[in-house]
Amino acid sequence: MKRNKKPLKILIIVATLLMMFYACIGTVFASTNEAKPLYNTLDQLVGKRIAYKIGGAHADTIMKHKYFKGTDTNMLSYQTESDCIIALESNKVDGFCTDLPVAQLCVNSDENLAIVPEYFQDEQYAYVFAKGSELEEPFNKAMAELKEEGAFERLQDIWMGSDESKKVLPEQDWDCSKGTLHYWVDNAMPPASYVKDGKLVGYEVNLVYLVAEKMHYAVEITGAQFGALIPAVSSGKADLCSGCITITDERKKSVDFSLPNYDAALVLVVLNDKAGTSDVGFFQSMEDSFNKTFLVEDRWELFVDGIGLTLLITIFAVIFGSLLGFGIYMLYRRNNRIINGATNIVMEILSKTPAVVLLMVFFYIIFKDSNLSGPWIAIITFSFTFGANVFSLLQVGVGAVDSGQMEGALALGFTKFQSFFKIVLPQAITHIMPTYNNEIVNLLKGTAVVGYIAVSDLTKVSDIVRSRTYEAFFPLIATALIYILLAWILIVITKAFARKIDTKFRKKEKILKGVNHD
Amino acid sequence: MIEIKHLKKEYETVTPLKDINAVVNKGDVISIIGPSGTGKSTFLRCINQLESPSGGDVYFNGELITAKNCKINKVRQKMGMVFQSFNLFNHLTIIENVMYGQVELLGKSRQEAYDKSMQLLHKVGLADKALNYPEELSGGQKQRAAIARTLAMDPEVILFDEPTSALDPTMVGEVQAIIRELAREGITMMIVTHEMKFAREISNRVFYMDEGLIYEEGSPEEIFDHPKKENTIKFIRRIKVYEGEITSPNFDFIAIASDINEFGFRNQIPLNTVAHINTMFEELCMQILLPKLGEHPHIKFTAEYSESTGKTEIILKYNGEAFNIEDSDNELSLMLIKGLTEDFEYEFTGENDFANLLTLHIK
Repeated sequence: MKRNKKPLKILIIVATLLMMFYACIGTVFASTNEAKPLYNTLDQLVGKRIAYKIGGAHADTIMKHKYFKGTDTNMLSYQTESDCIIALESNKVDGFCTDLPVAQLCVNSDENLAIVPEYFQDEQYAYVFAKGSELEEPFNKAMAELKEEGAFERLQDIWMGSDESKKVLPEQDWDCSKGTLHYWVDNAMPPASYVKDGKLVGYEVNLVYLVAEKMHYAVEITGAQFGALIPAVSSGKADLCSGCITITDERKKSVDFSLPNYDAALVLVVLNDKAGTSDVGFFQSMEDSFNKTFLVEDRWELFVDGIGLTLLITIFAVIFGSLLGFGIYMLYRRNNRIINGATNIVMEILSKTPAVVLLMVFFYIIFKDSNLSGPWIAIITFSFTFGANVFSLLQVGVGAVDSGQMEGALALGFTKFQSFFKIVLPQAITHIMPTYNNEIVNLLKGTAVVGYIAVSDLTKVSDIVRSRTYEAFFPLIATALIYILLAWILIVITKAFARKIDTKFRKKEKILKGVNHD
Repeated sequence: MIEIKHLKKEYETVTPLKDINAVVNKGDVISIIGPSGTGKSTFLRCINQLESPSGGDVYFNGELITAKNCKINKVRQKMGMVFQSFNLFNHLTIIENVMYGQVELLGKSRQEAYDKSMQLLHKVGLADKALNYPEELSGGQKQRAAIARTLAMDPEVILFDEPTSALDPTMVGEVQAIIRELAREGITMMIVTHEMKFAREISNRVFYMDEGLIYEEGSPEEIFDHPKKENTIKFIRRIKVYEGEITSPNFDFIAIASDINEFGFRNQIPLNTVAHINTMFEELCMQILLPKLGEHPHIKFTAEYSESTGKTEIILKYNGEAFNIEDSDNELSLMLIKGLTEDFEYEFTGENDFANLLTLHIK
């Protein structure tokens, strides 16, 4: 019983940390009216620190701007808009640049923020196709018709307005006789594309639906992070993608753009003069955060799905990886020079490549043309990395068993095969079990990178939620707690298993099973 | 029962077994003795094929067990082995160690195996340790358990590979007592050992191994009391030999001096004896012979220390014309040498390399 208290302690400590966090930042959330931005013109931000979302063209645009060109303005990249906001609110940056519609949503949902009234440049968003895609022409034709019909303005009113009830996609009940459009979107880019009620929605998504209807195509939509979109199109995984992607000359070199779907501007978001003057209480803000993170739009369902995916990938990778590692080790024992040479090379590659790089290599290169879904590719990738770990564990574990054990068994009359499986391996497994269990927990944590290949695991879900709530502390801490809990459960299970197979923990009755010993 | 013909074992750098021929009869208790590194253990391990021989044949009950298609694991079930390092299965209790082979290999029921194992554990005095794990036992207890494990297979012959070498001196007796008991029961055994008294006491035949061969074989009396061949005699009388050679007037004197010290340390020769050997070397070779032999000296310096008598003999062979050290004009060195020796003999042999032979006995 004693051993079970430790994880509980950790939980309490983390929960306390969470509260302290909130005690510090609870005051940051303000609710006032008539707030003014701290900066009123763009040139006031020259030489300051400006955040931008990674994968976009914004940083380039700013550094080419007449005020900023040649200055030592510090451009800092972040993964999501919500990360930019947190950086801003925690004074890590002085402003962040984003597209006007995104900025407006941010300002509307966070009372500390304001938009600098002077904008950078007008810019246009468009859908991205692979170079020379055959879909482009019919797609543009349909878009032009829709623009003529005033569909663009109608959709903008819906998705950039405040009436949430209107923000729903039509059913795909049209004629889909021409085939399916594989459409990738940034799943954290409201109002263009984001997750609402567990589904991908948004202005750009809705527009694609209308176009597809005119083209007689079905739409199969995949959510990913911004950085993964253009590679998905280039590698043929997706037919088209979107995510407030600005038309730039540089991008035109590698992909094609559709007609523009939105005329936007690049703006800077900064703190306003009322920031940090909130009088909302600590518990109130906790409750708000909890509601926003878990209850609104039934977001807890996203978390449940994310946990499910994280566990699925972890557990299957443990099973397949263990079998794979063991199988390769058995081959390795035959001392065939060619097999062992090849094994050594593969192990070298697997053990020295970051999991996330490996994951993308599998996704974009090795399984480029396969129909395997993201989670399966994640399982395959992590099976390999885990298998490599199991392989080296076995090498160390079997090496740690004294060679006399093998000889003792051989001399009694066991075959080599029997000696290995009955005598050496059980002892080796006992040796490696503690490290093996650690590796499982490491794997659980390691799967957090699967968001790179558009798998919505627990970490990615927390990204998605943060992109809607524009707050980080609560979802991040909650996610950390969930990981700790999952790891704790895995540890309890694997430790029980390790104890079960360790012969030293057997009772007398078990040892003398089937024997009358009195 | 076992017949060994022209057995050979080669490694890349050494050849521990050159040509071994032997016959083991039922009921034989054979002790295998000899200096370290002469392939005694290798010989034993080649019989049950834990090492595969480089050449030669081993027959067991008429079957050629070195043949490729021989099921060596079946043979090993009848040919037990007890190791220097016990090799008990660490993850199993003592009773399971003894039961395991019976159940898994002989197909006995667990009850049958248990009863036999308990009987054997009683015999080796470990019945109360049945449920302990090997790590909880002393070295002597482990070796007794390992013997019980081997006996449980009802082997026709047992190979003991230095069964007491890894034990504290206090535990050697308990293990030897068990082996003695087995010898009395008439079990066929081959024992590699360094315990001469024990070997003499239990065996009916002794193999003295040296130079990759069974150098001399005979009854314990023949080998221990009347050894015939040179190396056997040296070994039985426990004579330790140091050899050094000088081929240049500028040889490495420090290296030879430290070799002599190392030789003394390794063989536990009393310090003053080592000092005497060193002095003799210095006075004889450095002071008297080297100045005499000029540009091309060739001296072979041999020191033989007998553990049993504690005496040291120094044999000096050198080139050049006839020269007895007594004729030397280095009176100081001569005095020192005479002070340390009981007597010495000089002979002019006229051999090609070493025409002079000088033998000295240190006090």
